Amino acid sequence: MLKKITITLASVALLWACSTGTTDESQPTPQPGNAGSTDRKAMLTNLADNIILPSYASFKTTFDAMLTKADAFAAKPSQASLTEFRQAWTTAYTEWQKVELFDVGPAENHTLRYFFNIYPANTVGIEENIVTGLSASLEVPSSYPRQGFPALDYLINGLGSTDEAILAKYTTAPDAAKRVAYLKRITSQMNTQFTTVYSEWTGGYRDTFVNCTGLDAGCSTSKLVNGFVLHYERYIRSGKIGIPSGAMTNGVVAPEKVESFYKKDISLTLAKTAHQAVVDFFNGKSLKTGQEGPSLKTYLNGLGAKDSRTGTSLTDIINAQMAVSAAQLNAIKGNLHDEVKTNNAAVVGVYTEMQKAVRMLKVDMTTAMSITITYTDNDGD
Amino acid sequence: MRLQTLSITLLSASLFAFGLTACNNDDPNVAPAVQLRKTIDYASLKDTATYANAFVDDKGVKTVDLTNGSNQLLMFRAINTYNTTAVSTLTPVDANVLKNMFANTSSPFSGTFAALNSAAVQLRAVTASSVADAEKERLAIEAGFTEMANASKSVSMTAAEGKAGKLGTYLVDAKGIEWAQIIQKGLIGAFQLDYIGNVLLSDKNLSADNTTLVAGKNYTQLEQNWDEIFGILTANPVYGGKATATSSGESFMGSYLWEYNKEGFAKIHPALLKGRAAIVNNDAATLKAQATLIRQEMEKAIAASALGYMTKWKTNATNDAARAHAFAEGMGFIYSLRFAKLNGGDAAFSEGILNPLVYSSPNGFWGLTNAKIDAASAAIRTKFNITN
Repeated sequence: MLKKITITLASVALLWACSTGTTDESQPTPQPGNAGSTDRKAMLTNLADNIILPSYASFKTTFDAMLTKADAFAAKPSQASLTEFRQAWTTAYTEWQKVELFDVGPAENHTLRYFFNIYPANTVGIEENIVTGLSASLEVPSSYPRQGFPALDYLINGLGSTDEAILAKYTTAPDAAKRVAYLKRITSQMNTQFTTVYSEWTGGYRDTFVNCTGLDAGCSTSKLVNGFVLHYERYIRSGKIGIPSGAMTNGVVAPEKVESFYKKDISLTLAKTAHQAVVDFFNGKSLKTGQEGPSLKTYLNGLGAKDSRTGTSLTDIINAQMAVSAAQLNAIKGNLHDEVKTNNAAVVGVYTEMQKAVRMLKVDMTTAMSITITYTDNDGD
Repeated sequence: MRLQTLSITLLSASLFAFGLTACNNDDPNVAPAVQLRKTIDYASLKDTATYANAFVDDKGVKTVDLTNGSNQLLMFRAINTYNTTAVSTLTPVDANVLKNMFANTSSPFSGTFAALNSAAVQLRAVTASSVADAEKERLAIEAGFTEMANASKSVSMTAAEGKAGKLGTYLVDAKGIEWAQIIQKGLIGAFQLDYIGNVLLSDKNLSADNTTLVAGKNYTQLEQNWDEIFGILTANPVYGGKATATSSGESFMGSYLWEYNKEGFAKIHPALLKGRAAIVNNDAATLKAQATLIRQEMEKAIAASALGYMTKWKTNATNDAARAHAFAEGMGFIYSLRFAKLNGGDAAFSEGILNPLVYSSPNGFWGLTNAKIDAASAAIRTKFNITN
C-alpha cells in the first residue's frame, strides 16, 4: 500500500512538469527616464521622517500646552484662565489640522480622529454625560461627538452669551463640579489617545511603515493613500464645506454643522490649514527644511501617470486643481458660518472645485498607483 | 474490501498517470477501461471556457448538469430577495416562509423563483452537514429567520439604541443587528463554504463513483458532485467572467472571493475546469490539488471578509447605518468561520469571538468599541495566520 502511494506521488511529481506555469502577477514596471521615482521606500521614509513625525511632535507641543491651560482652568476657573485655555485650544486645534490627515497605522487603528474632531458636537449628549459622570462611555461611537476639540469648543465657548455666564457654569452652577470633572475627563481621553498613537509611531511603527513597501492593501502605500483620499473627501470636502454649505444635501444649508461652531472666526482658518497640509503632504514638503522630497507626487511622476483626457502630467493637474480649490477657499472672508448663509454660492463653489480634486485623487491617482480604495463597499448589498 | 478497491483505484490512477508522463502525447484510445471519457489535456483548457460546454462524452454529448447546484443557489437568492422586501416594500417578512424556503416545503417560492417549488433539492439538508451537530446550526439559521421577522415588524420605524427599525436603508433589531446580513453571510458559510468545501470536496466525496453513470443521466456521481459546486458558486457560464474593476459580477461566496481574495478569485475558474478534467482523466492527485486550492481560497476569502468588515466598522465615524451594515456583515462572516475547517475553524472558535464582541453586551451593536473590534480582529488574524 505504502509503495503504491509512493508511486502515485512520484507520478504526480512527473505530471507536475507537464502542467502549465502560473502567470506572475508582477507590480507596475518602473519607467526609467521619467522624472520622479517609483522607490516607495524613499517616499515612505521622507513622509515619515520629514512630515508625519515632525508634525506629530509639533502638534504635541501645542496640545500639551493646551492640556496645561485646561488643568489650570479646571483647578481655578477664572476669566484669565478661561482666556488662556481658549488661546491654547485655538492653537492646538489649528495644529491638529496638520496631523488629522495621517489616517494610517496607529492613528487609523485607534481611530484617533474620532476622539479629536467629530462635529457638530452633540451638546445634549455632553450635558447627559456630565450628569451621568464616569459611567458614561467615551469609547462607543455615539460618544465621539461628545468629546475632542468640538466638545471643548462647546464647553469653553458655547455655554453662555457672556464669559460671566460661561464661568458661572464652572463655579456657581449646581453641577459645576461635574462639569469640571467632564472637562478633565475629555482632555485626559484626548491625551490618552494621542499618546497611544504617538508612542507607537516613535516606538517602532516608523520602521514598520517605511519597510512595508508592497502595494497590497495591508501595506503602507495603500493604507496611506486610502487614508489620505478619505481625509480629503470626507473630512475636508464634505465635513468642512459640503455639508454646512448644503452642497451635499440638496441645498439644505446647515451652518450649525461648521467646524468650530462656537468660535466661528476660526472655522475658515481650520479649513485652509487642513487644505494646505494636504497639498504639502502630496508634494512631500519637509516640515524641517520646507524642501520637497520623495512623495505621492514624485511617485506618480515615476510611474509616468498622465491625465487620461489631456495626456498632461497627472501631478500637474492635481496640483493645479488643488490651487484652484485653495484660491476659492481663500476668497471667502469673514466666518464660514455666516458665509454659508449669506454667500452660499461661493462656498458651494469651493465644494465643486474640491470635488474635482477628489475625483483626481480617488480615481486617477489610485488607478495609476494600482491601489484599491478599500473604504467604500463594493459588494452592492 | 473497500480498502482493497481503493488500493486498486490508486494503482490504476498511478499507472494511468505514468502513461501521461510523456506530456500528453499518448493516444486517448488506450486509456484504461475504468475511464469513461477521452482524456483531456490540461493544457487545452482555456481559462475562459464555458464550464457547461467544456465536458462531453465520447459522442460529444454534454456531461455537465448544473441543475441541482443552480437551484440551490437560486434558493439562497430567493431567501435573500425575500428578506430585502421588508425594507423595499415596508412589509414584515414571515419566518415560516423563510423556513419553508430553507427546507423547500409547502411551495414557498413565488414569482421568478416559483419553479424551485418542484426542484429536487433543498438548502436545509445541505447546511452545516459536515459538522457533528448539524441540527444545531440549522436551528441557529432558523432562529435568525425569527429574529429577521421580529425586526421587520418595526420596518416603518426609525431605529435607535434599544429600538428596532430602519437605520438608513437597513433594517436592524433593538440591538442594532441587521439580521438579513447575518442570514446571508451565515449561509455563505453554513451552506456554500461547508457544503462545497467540507462535503463535496471532502476525501470521501472525491472518491465517489466515477466508473458508472448515474441511472438515467449522462454523468457519474463524482462528475455531478463537481458540477454541483459550480452551480452553487455561480450563475454565470464562466465563474468570474463578468468581473470588472469595480464589480465581481458574482453573488454571495462568489462575490466575496473577488472582493476579499482577488488573487484567489482568479484561480477559481481554472481550478474548477482542471478539477473536472481530472475527474474525466481519473487523475486523483490533480483532482485533490484543485479541491484543496478551492477550499483554501474560499476560507481565505471568508476570513479576510470578516476582518475587512471589522475594519469597516471603524471607517464610519458618524454614519450609524453604514457602521451597522458593515458590522452585521462581519458578524455573519465570523459565524461562518466555524466552517473554515482547513484552518481549524469550529463553533467554539466563532462563538469565542462573538460572545465578548456582541452577544454578551446588553445593547449589542450600540455597545461596540475599538477594543472589542480589535480583540475580534486579533483572534481572526492569529487563527488564519494573517499578518497585516
